[in-house]
Amino acid sequence: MSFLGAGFLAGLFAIGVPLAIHLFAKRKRVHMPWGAMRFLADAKPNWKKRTLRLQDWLVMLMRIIAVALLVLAFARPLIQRPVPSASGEEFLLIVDRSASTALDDNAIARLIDQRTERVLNAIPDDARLRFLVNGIGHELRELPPLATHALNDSRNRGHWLAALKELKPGIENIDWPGAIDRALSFPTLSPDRDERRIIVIADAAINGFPHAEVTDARTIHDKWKEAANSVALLPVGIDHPAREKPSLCVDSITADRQRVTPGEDAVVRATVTNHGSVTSTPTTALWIGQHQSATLTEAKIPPLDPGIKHELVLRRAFPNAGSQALQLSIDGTGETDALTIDNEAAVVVDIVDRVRLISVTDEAPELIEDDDQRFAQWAFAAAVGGTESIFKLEPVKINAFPALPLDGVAVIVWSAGDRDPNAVAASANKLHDFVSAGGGLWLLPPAALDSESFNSVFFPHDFGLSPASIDSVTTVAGSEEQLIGLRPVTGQSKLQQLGLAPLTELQIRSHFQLRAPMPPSSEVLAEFEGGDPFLVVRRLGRGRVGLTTLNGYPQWSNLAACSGYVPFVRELLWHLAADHLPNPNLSGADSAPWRQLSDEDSVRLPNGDWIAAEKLDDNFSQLTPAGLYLVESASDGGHTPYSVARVAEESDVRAVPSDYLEALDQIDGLSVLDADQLLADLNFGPPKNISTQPTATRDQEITLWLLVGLIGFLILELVTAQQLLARRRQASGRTSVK
Amino acid sequence: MSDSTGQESNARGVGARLLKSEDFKWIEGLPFNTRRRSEGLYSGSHRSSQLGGCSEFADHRPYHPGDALRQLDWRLLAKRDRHYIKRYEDERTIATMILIDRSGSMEFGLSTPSKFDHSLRAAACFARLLLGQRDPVGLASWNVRGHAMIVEPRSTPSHFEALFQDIAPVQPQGDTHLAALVERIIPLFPTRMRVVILTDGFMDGSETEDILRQLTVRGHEVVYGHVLAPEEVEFSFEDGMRFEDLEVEDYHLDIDPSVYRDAYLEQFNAFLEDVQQRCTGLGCGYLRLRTDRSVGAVLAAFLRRWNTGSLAPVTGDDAKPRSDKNKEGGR
Repeated sequence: MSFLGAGFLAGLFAIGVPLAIHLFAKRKRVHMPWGAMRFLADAKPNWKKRTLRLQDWLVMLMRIIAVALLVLAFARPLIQRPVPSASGEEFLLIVDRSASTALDDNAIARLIDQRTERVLNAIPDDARLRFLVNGIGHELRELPPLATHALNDSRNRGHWLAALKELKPGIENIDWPGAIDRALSFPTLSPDRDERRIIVIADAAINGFPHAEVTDARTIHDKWKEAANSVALLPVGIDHPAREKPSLCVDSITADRQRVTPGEDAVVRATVTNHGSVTSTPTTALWIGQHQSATLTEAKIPPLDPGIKHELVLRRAFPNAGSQALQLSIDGTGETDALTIDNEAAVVVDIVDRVRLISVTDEAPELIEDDDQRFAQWAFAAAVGGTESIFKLEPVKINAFPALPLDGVAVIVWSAGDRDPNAVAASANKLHDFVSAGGGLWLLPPAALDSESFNSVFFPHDFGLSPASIDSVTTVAGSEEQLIGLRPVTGQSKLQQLGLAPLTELQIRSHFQLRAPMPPSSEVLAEFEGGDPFLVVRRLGRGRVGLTTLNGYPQWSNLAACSGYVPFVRELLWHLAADHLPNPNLSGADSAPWRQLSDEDSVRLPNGDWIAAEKLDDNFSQLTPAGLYLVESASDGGHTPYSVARVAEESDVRAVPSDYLEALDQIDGLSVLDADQLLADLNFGPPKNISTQPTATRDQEITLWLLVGLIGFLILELVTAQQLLARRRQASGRTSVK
Repeated sequence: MSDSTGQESNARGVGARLLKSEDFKWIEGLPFNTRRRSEGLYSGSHRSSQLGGCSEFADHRPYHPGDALRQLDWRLLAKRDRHYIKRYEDERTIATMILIDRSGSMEFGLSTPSKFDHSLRAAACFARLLLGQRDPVGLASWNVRGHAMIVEPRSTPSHFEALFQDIAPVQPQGDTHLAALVERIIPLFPTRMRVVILTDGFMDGSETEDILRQLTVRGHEVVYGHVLAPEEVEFSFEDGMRFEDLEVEDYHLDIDPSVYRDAYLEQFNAFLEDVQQRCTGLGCGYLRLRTDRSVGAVLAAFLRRWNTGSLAPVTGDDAKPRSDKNKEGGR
């Protein structure tokens, strides 16, 4: 049963009035002159026997029924019989009426109405439907249900559409994630999740922050995938005729990776071009965050030379987990640069918290060389795009390592013992025992190259090395110029799966090799040409540990200077974190192409000065509040403009952005359809003839019967009350003491 | 009024109004015997503690010179040639004092007349019955001025009205002063008498026992009429109530009866059992006069049991419920 005037149901609270009258009126105590007082005064009360007696319950019941009937009569109930659905489907149709739908004189709203009508017509007759509208007064509102939730009566469609058209767009943007929670609180018609299908018809082009819809769409999907069999999102946009491209345009925006850890910086690069002759200082607007929680930062950048593609580099930390969009728009400020704000682009970054950087040492942490720490931090910060201050190295004593709560990934850079070979050997042995991920090869620094110390080192009995744990000790005597190439592992090696670029230019200076047996659970991801392991990975606790047998200390090798080292570390991180990433379908490999700043690159500061890229870190704090600065590429010996591809597109961003649809496509289980595709996929029939008159006949009958019943009950109550009054008078007469 | 009490029908005094035919017809004609020997001055229907008269043979004793020859058992002398004096029982009247409790608690009566009214009706039945067998009847209580009032026993039929004319208009009030009343009575009656106490007994058990003991040790015969209202026995109240003490002014209890019912009934039943045991332990008769039971039916049951010499308590539980409009005969 449903109600046309459901608001009147609040009047059901009025049934508390007769109940209160009944309960509280009885609170008045009857005065009883009593002789046997001594037995009452001495009696101990038994509170368990206390009972709330409902005397005169008949009168109370009739009063409650009378009030309830009156309220129900006003609420105009509808008796509905569940409409059996041949297809067994129930649709939850949610239509967007947010402020953005009022653009272009409600053009989006009208478009949504048209889409809604088509969808309504396409839904099978025997399907059951709930019709919700989002965005009116921040509330998710259900259009008044009619005689049935099913669509077999064409008048229902007309009524719904007429009611929808009467609803004007709200004055503020809506909170889709909040709306999802409220929508799930609506009682559904079908208890079976598999029968439910959710269709969201929403404005795809919100002015100001369109790509936040991607995060919203992900949230919609994540929240609804458990509640419905399928979720379809129908983005609605307006295809404007081709307009003149704006003079200032954000051609693209990319992130070096699409996953970062909280508190860590991601490097976002945007290319901007001055296609006109804008001479004033442009203003950039940067939105970061989710839909309702996005923050805006504006900054001025130096004037852009016409026709040249400039690169904006942004370093930004993300404090909160989840999907976050970065949207950059650029606009001129001069009167002659009256530009629209259509020149914008965005990228979505997922924030994860899975990476730790640990340095295992046998020395006291305070004795670790500063250079070691700085190098390790630099290497990993470069690999993942963070800053050294955020990506902090954690020195851990070897003995304490097994007790670490490694809930995720630990990447170990072994940095100890570069001076004392004894400590190196002992550390290797301990690390092997505790971690067992290393095994393999340990490199000794050049300081231990003299034979005397070598001979003193590698007598196992002198240093506690168990002979059983050492397969062989090989001395590689060579000059500092000797090259040892890192050969990629073929066959079953994970190195190929990782897509790691081989570190072909790796040069390892003179070293010793200390080889221990490999634990069975470990796997070698990369090894040297001689078969000695370079990168070993094994599972430890709930995480995975990767151990490199060579750190980046320049006395050992040129590892840190290799061009492939940073991508190598980055891929290693994602490989180790693969088990923990929230959305494995969006892999890190899909991120924007990596391009490391070369020393030849120049960076232009807001004050117009150009500095070398290698000095960027020193001047980073002086950059604009938005963290934006221009990078001028000089790879071809001059300022080479990039090709401008996206600017040539004919549609503006108010149409459904193609990259938005692509991002939505990457979400599993979320169907992104246009109206025609929706009709085709659902195999909907042809449009129905729609009547605009709502059905309202049976409810009036019920109201009449309710009123008749109410009058009957009132008469009954009068009779009962009179009898009760007489009984009370009789009782009160007997109470008087003679 | 019934014909048997026709002499009161004309006057329609207080006593006549108290004595209901539907009560008295239950006990009309029943004797109210004494369990002890009477010491009354006048000849009556009760065995006297003295020998004499010629109604019933008692025993023989040897003849002593000086004895009246008319008392000699000539027949025994002829047979056995021995001289014996033949002795006979003497039958005298026994005075009865009816004590009515006038304390405030006797005013209680919710679904029935008050306990005081019920006591007066029972007293009227007793008085009429006793006057009918020519036993002197007296009444003791308090008059309207609050003074102890004692109507001395007399056996004339016209004494019936005199018994009640001062006591019936009294409104029960105040504490129970039954012990004081008994103390006033005892010096007035040195000879054995019968005392009928009509009270609800809402006092300490030891106090009740003291009263009874004072009477029984002096040879008096005591009948304890325990007058109770059905509400006091059953305590069947439901709603929250304010119980106002009838004996102590401005003392009340606001309670939920359902919470106190179990504890109250436990104490009250213990009280009934205690009074009952103290009565039978001292050789007193006990009858429970519930105001919702017929007075006549309970008195009849008591008299039948009493006349057989039994001291078993009469609780009146099997008595017919009281009906003031009952027109049928009691027996």
